[in-house]
Amino acid sequence: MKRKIGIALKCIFFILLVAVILIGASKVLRRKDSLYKYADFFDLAQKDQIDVLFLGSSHVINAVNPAVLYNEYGYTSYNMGGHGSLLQATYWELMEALQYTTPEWVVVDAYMLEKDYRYLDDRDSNPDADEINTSIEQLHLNMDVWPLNKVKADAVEDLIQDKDLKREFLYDFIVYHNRWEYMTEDDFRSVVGHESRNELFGAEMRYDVETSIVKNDDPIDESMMPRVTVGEQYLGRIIEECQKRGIGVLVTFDPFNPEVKDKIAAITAGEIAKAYGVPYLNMLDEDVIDIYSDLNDRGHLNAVGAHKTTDRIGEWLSTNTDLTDHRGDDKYGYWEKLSNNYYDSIKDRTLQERNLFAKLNLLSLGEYGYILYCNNGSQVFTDKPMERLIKGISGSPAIQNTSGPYILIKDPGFGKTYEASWDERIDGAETALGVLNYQPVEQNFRLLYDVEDEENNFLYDENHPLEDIQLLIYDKSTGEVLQHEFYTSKGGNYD
Amino acid sequence: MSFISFAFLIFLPVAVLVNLIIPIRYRYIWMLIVSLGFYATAGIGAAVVLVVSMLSVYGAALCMDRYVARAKQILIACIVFNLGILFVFKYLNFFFRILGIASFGAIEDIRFNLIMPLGLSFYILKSVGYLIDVYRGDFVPEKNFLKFALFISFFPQIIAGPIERAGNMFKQFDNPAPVDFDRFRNGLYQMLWGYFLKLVVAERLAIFVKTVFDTDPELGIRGAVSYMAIALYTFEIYADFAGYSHIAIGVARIMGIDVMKNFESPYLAMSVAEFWRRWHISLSSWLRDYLYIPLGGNRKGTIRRCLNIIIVFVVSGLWHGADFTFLVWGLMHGVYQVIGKILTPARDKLMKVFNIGRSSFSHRVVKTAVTFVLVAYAWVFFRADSIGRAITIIKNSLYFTPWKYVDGTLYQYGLTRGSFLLGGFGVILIIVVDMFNNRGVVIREKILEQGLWLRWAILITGIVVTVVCGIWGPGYDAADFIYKQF
Repeated sequence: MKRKIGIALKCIFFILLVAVILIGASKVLRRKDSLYKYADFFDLAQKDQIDVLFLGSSHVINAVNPAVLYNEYGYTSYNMGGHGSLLQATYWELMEALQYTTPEWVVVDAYMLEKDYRYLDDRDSNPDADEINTSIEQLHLNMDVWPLNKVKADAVEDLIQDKDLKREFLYDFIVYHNRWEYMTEDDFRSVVGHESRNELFGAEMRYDVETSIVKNDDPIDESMMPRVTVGEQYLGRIIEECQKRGIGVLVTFDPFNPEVKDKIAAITAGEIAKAYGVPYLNMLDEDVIDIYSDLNDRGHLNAVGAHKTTDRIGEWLSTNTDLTDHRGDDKYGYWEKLSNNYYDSIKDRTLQERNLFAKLNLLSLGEYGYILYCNNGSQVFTDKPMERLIKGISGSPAIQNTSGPYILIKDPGFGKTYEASWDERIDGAETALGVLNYQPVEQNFRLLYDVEDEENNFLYDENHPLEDIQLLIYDKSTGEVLQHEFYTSKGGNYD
Repeated sequence: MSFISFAFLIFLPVAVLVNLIIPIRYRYIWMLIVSLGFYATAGIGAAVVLVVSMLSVYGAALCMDRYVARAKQILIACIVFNLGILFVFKYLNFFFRILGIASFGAIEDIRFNLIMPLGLSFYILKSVGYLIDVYRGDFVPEKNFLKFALFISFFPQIIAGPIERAGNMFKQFDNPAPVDFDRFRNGLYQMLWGYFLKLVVAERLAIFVKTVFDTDPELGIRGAVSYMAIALYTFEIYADFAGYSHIAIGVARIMGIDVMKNFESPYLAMSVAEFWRRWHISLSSWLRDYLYIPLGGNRKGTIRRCLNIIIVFVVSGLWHGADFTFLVWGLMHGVYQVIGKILTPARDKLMKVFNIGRSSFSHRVVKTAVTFVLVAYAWVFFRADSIGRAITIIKNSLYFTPWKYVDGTLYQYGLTRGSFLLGGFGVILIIVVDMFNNRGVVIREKILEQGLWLRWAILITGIVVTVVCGIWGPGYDAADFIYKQF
């Protein structure tokens, strides 16, 4: 009997030991994307520091930057957007998040409202295999981090129809056990809570500039979607859930370069919001972004577009809500720190960026003063995307009406913009560099100098006879020149 | 239900735990229930075929015992009936294909959409063996239908063997061994080794092999890569089938039943004949006892002996699959052995001339290597979709591109560097374990003799490696056991 008890105890201990080791292995091996995105969410939710939740798809991930919202308005928010998230996935994202925090406002983006299939893996209703694969794969980003409980089980049951797939979401070790080849230090650090984190409160910024823009037509009339879609039903459920819990809801349609179907979806979203009596911000209808400079690709905004969109939402929140400005509150030091980190990263990236489109676009955020000079005959003047970009950041069409030379001086410190083309001069431009005079002289010679130091020609280029573009970046406060780069334009490329 | 399914991981503990608490004399009933339950997951049609076959064999055996004068007719009728079932489900399409070829297209190549019942080839052989044993008087027919049904359908064996004999099984059904802790532990260790072989080694090697074998040979996979695929397939099929067999034997063991060994370090064989004494032993011995010896074996002169060998291996080839590739595979093994016999005097003379000691290490290594290469190249026909494809792969393997072994080329065929090296480690481990086994040392038993901490460390490492590094789950589409299809 004693021996039998001993064996039984050994067996139990062995099983427990194996279970602990496998649980540890599953934690180490789990893909960290989801944890990376939400690690801060759990900490901040525990401190009850999240006032606004942003919900939606990758459009939201790229369009709303909580670091900017905090910097500009002092509102604390978390970007819960998920890549490829349909509104049913967004609904369950909200339900998961509400277990940990009750925000004052939920801002939900209605992109993909027209999607009308119930399950993300319903290949019969949605013939677009890529879209389905993306939705399912990216659902792991939304789901993996949440602990296995009834809400998660309900979510998986509601979103997935294939039983094997369901199992993969409930017990993700099935999917991730083969990551043993790709483990990094971070995988092990996560076991003790020292994993890498998204430092933008769930947002992700992109930095390219989409130059192949084709604008789509507007709908023929104020069209609505012909029937109630699954997307509409879940938008309704999101609004109802928030209303039930006393959470304010703002429905948005974040800006991008929409197709006709998106414009119709945006109109329909407005009607749904109206029906529920909640506010609606359709940024497709507003000049929030410049689609020639603020898109990373057709559907997603770059960091500059995100600044503008976040600023617009912040403006709406400040006008229509009584959210608290937490800036200066010591308890919110972490927000301050990450927000500052973000702006520092933008500064670094601006100087390191080699792509002229992206660089000029980043410069438009006003973290530096800069001078852009394009020589007479430069291909800039025949490159429509570059012309449109410069027009956008200068705020005037001058670039489109000249074949050069052209100069643009942007000084955020003084809040001044100076432009000149052809034989125009600039006199007494107030900048952090000093009071500048500009004077074109001949093809390869022009003058730009501080009136107090006429010997120093900022645009002197004897060592760069072949380059037709100069970009001079300086500290907007001290006037220290940080970078002076020369580019050659060649068929839309700038090296 | 597959041994590598989640369902089996739930099924097995239930089967084992209930088996432990049931009185020994009634255990066979429980084992029959779980065996039929296990088999029923293959589909109702397969279950019906199984029951029909079982009833026919059970009835025929009793009749043979009762009507001794007509025993031969009953035996032949029952064998024809059961082989007929096998023929319909396995060979009918192939038969019409051959007819079509033989008649130069005059007879249409008709295709029947018949799904072969799971394990049919295995339990038909088991049934035929049982019938012959009863006919020969080697075994008294079992009167208890439940025990007989269990013999045919015993779940660890029904999918892919080992093809057991009545003499070994019925006495155990009457009196199964008590499942004590040591037996339980021994069975679990054997199962774990089987899962390791299947999930970590076989499935991993299969990725590389599939990439090479399924890529159009005209696309230029040549030299080292082709040869590596051939070598890895040689280990893949071993790890796959031996893995299955270890799981089956381990499961049977923890149910209180000892099942015969199916492998005995086959790639350490020093001749093809020896290989067949070590590979799929339950089939080889079945073919020896129920086909080769009745054909006359080696008792009727050299020519007849050679012919018998060829017949046995052609049958073996066709038993594995209804295709010309399997036929060629079997034929090759037969021809290897016939040539081996014919060349024996010449080889003996060479040995004498060059003063080579038969038992010298170098000679044994050469013989083992040559046998391995012969077996490996025969496997190409076993694996390839057609004879033409097999010949192309073999031809491609003869190109001289040794640099591809070291320049990273091998990591471009479905396996990353880490995964490839892990597969290689698995192959080395198999060889080491087999070398010990060849010397009569069973590693599993040696481990069980160690202290608790070392035992646990090995067991836990085995579990973790198999679970983490095993090829299973989405993205891999881990295949079922290769021999299950036969």
